[in-house]
Amino acid sequence: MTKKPSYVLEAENITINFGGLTAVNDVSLQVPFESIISIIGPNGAGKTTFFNCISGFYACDNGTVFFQERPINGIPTDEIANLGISRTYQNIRLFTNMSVIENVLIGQQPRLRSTCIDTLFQTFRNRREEKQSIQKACNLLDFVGLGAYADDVANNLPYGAQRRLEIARALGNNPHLLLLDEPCAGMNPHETSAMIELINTLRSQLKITIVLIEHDMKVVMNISDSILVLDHGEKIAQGTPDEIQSNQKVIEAYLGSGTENLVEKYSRRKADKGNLD
Amino acid sequence: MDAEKPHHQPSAKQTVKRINWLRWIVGVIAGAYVLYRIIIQIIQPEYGPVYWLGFLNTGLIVGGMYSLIAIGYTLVYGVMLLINFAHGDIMMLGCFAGYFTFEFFNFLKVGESNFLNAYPVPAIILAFLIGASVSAVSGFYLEKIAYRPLRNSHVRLAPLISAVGASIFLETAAQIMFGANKKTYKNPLLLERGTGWNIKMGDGMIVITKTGVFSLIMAVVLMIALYFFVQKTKLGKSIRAVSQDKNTAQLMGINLDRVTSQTFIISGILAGSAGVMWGLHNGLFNHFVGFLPGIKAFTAAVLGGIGNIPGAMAGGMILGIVESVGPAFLGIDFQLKDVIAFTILILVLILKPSGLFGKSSSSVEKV
Amino acid sequence: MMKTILSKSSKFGIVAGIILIFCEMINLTSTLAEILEKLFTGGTAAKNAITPFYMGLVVGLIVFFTTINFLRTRNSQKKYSFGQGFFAAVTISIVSGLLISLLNIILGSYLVNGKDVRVYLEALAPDVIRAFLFQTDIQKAVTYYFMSTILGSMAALILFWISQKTNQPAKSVRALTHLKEKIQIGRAFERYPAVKTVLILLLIIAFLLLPLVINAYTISVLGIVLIYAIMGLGLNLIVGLSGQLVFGYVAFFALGAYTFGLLTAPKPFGIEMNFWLALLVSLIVAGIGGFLVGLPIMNLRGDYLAIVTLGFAEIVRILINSNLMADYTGGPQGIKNIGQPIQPSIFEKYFGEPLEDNVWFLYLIIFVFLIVLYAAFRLQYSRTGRSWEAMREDETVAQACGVTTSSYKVLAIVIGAAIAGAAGALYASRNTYTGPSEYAFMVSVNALAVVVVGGMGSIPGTLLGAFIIKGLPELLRDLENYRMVVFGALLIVMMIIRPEGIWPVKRRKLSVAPESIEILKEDLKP
Repeated sequence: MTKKPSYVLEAENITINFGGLTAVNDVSLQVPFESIISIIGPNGAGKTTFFNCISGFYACDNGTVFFQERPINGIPTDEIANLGISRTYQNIRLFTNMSVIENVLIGQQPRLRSTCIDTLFQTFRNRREEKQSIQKACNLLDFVGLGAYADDVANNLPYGAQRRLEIARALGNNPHLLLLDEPCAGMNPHETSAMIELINTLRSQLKITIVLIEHDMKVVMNISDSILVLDHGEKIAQGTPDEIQSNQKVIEAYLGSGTENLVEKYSRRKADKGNLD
Repeated sequence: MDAEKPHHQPSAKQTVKRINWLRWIVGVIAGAYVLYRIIIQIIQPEYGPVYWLGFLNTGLIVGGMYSLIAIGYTLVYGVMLLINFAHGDIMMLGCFAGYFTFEFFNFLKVGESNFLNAYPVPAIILAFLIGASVSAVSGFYLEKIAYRPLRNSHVRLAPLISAVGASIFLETAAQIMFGANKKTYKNPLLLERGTGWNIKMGDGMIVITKTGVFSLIMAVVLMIALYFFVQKTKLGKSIRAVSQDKNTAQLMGINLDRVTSQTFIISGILAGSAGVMWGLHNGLFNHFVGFLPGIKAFTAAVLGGIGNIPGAMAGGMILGIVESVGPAFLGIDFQLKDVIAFTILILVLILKPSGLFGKSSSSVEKV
Repeated sequence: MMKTILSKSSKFGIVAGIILIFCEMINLTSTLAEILEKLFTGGTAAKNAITPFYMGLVVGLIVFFTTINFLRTRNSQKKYSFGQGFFAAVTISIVSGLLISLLNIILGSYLVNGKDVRVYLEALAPDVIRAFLFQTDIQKAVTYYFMSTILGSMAALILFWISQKTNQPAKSVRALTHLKEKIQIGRAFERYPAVKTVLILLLIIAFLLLPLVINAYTISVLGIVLIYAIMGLGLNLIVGLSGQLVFGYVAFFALGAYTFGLLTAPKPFGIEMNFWLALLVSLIVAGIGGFLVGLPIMNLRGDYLAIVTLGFAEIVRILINSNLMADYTGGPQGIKNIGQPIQPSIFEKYFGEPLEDNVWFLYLIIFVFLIVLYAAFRLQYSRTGRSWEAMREDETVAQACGVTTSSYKVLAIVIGAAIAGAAGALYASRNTYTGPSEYAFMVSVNALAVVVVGGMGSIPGTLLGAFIIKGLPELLRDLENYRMVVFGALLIVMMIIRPEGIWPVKRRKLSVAPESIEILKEDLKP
């Protein structure tokens, strides 16, 4: 089977079962280089499960995930991180008792080569690598706007900063593909727009491909090249933000069926708003 | 970050790949050695079949006690995800309580003889009740004092360290209070140690002791009672619900504190009964009595799949039998029977960490 | 209101009573009284003649602390009024007094009837019971008990009242924090790193000169403390950094000691190997033991390691004690005449005469200790140590960040085990003997207590812990019997009130000035 090289990630017919429950059913997704793809869907639609499958937490029961044309099914998570996929988590999971910069240093793990023997004898390689990695960590923290917090304990950061720190940590292993699980959850509008800006810079400046799960439609519609909609584990639509906005199936999934009037109202209001902008 | 997140058991799906080689090598070596020993036993048997039946008899009796203690580990692990390291010492307290009860009845004069021999059945029942309730009460307070404040501790190891602290505390306090010398249980004549029925078979005979039969029956009855209790009663259902999913159970209106306390009480009752049985059957005991049965019962719980109640019952029985049959089977010193038990623990963790009866990927961690 | 106070305070009274009864049953009360008497009078009190005053003092103190705790339970807005406090204090003292008097009436009547309760309660010899009866008859003893409990709780009430009125404790705490800010030691160190280096150097030099000035007893205590510090540093890597609990740490200690013994003793092998070579071999053997233990659990939760190592420790203990290995390990007799290192002639040249053997050996221990200390420092503040800590914080995420958790787990155990092996070798060599009785479960508990009390993951904490766990009991020899009880309680209390330990770990400052984004872009090219 030959794969077109233009995709960073290709998921083919992914199916994941939990006992009798099918969490993800036959979902396929192609992610081109330097694109931003959003996955949306109501709660329990299987978005995070799908993510977990890509990042190696779950093995899928059916289907294949190709990362740069290489199948990555069933590979442990640390090797997936090694390959260049990194992710953030829905409910922030930092190393809470460690300092901010140490969190970012852990993220660089796959790119470091010094062993504990190097450490014990303080070899030249160890010294150089330590210095370089700290410098890189500081650069990353500065990039996400946390330069001032570098030596604080991660637990003491404000909520929004913790989300940014997760991103900085995920950037440590020079990822080709960054998976963001609800990066804007629980943020106020100001923080959200800052996050949108950050995600856009990630792509434009650092050339990283991004797949994200998000509930905030403003974010999704703003930054995505393409949107994948899941409902009850099934793919119900995929397309550009405009296509998705007018897709009847999607609207039904979100608002339930028999709400055509409401939908009409909603889209009219949306259109008015668009005109105003 | 949050103490509530499900600490997963080895989720097989993600770890299978890496451990396979080790599993294969160890499995093949262990399997080959066992096979070799079986062949040896068939070609030139050291012991006649009577001896094997004798070992089986011993194993079943000890296994029953292991099962009772193992259930305590499994219940607590299910509810709190904690290895209750002090569980063996809870059993020790029950053993002491039973001892004092029997001593008291021995002194209590009724007419010519003493209460112990005049009314042996009520004496035994009372001893079990007192032993079980002392263990239950101490289990209840143990949880309240040493574990409950730590439920949301940000140090992950805190409850386990607290458990080891509690274990040391109970053991050494008992040592100072009651002395380190071994004490002897005063059995009523009805259940005198060492007496029983000798069954002649071929060239040898099996001694089936009264205490042994009594312990085994008692253990089986308690286990059946527990099984129905957990399956049928409201509290049993709550315990199972909490072991499945703590958060959801709480949302369904289950009082976590109360269920945890009650779990400790139940496991205390079982451990206390096991303690009294231990004393009745083995006679000698001291403050250290709970240590080895405690670890072995944990092994049994792991063997049956920790968190799995029928698994713990079966695991205890299997461990008891293997431990008593093992030295003869492997042709080693009987001194080394404890080594066999711990080797089994290590082998189980390598070969099938989810236990003999555990589902291979029972819970996958939510991310 | 009164009703709730009554029920609550009687609960506290029962707690105080149970503590009193427990202390009496394990004979802790009179031991404490004896210590206090020694402390105040400077004399040596014989055990059978403890002055009643001190017994009362101890009883009063226990009630005192309970009452203080009761009075503190209200939050700062709602304080008990004096009347309410008085009522509660009286209740507490009466309830606890009743309980303890009851016990003493029973024990006293046994004593009067000439029955020995030691058959069941070993701690309570007739002399001890007499001490608990204040060396008088039962009735007077009961009055004394009530007097001491009432006085204790009244003292607590008055003290609490005064401190509340004058707000003294809060003031003192504030003054102390001000003082701390004024001194600013930490900041001075930051500004002048040289000061810190010089201070550390001075400390090390003082430490190195220490063995020359202290007496033989102190040398032996210091030796034990340092050996435990070495063990603690090793265990700290496993428990404190990588977050896995090891209950059977003594197994590796024993492996090191026995390997060393077998290699250097004249019997059974008669190799009599060189000290350093043997030390190295025992370190490696213990490391291999760690590897074997690590293998089965490398994909499991840390909890399993606790039990697996415990099982392993039992296997090791049973094996070295068994007939199976008796030809090599000497069974219960152990190995005798284990080799000690030969003192190099340099010392003789410089000092004129060779150092005494124990002093020389202490230097040896210090040397090994410093090496281990260095290694621990290096490991902790490196990629390896960080990975361990990440694993401790959140294993799943650490793995998803690229930390190969299974190998890091095994690595931590191997290094920790090797360090324990070195400690064991030193220990065997120091005693020139090793036997199975020295490797009981309690050694593991001591090592664990060293790490936990000092502060998990903190190197200075571990050293402090080693001093507290092994040094202090030597200073308080009277409490020898109660050491393990206190450790057990201490482990629980520490976990509840201060899980990070006495000297918690401090995060190092690592940050440097960031560079431009262009460099980052270059860096992030995969």
